[in-house]
Amino acid sequence: MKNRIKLLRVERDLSQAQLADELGIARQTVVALEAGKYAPSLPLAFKISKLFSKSVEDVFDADTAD
Amino acid sequence: MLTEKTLRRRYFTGLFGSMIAYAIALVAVNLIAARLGSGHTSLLVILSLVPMVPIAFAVAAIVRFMNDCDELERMIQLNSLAIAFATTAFASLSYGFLEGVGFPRPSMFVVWPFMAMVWLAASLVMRLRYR
Repeated sequence: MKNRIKLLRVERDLSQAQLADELGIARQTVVALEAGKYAPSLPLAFKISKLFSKSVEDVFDADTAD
Repeated sequence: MLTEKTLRRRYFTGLFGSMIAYAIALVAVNLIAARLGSGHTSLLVILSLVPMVPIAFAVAAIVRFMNDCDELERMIQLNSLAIAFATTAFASLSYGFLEGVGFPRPSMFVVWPFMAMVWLAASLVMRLRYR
């Protein structure tokens, strides 16, 4: 699933490790999310959107969901 | 919330600590059993299960890790366990049929290391898929 996580993270000057800590997930998961290789659960998707003060639709592209 | 590094450190400390305790218990039990000799059947039965106490702590460390890890890691581990379970079932059943035609009967100790190796290999391959 395509998303704008990397763009939003870089805009906020966060490292992958910092974002992982903020979200309470592993850095490996941030890497997989940014690469579009892993579609997060609904609670994690909401958590990511909330962290960036965006709606879920603004962060994730539902048309590219597996 | 604990960081990934802390979780992994706690997991490996628990797991390897248990494995070291297991190795020590195994050596100690063998030495004691050799001194006792035969004739102490009930004591030998209890002694032979003593090395399983540290293994119970290893199980607790694995369960705690599975509960604490994040959703991607949990998915990787559960998929790897499913692959290991199915592969072990396939291998053990196949070998069971081969025993019927004269193949040697291996120890029950063979099953777990086989499953653990498949679990490890599957989790490494799955982890590469998400890089």
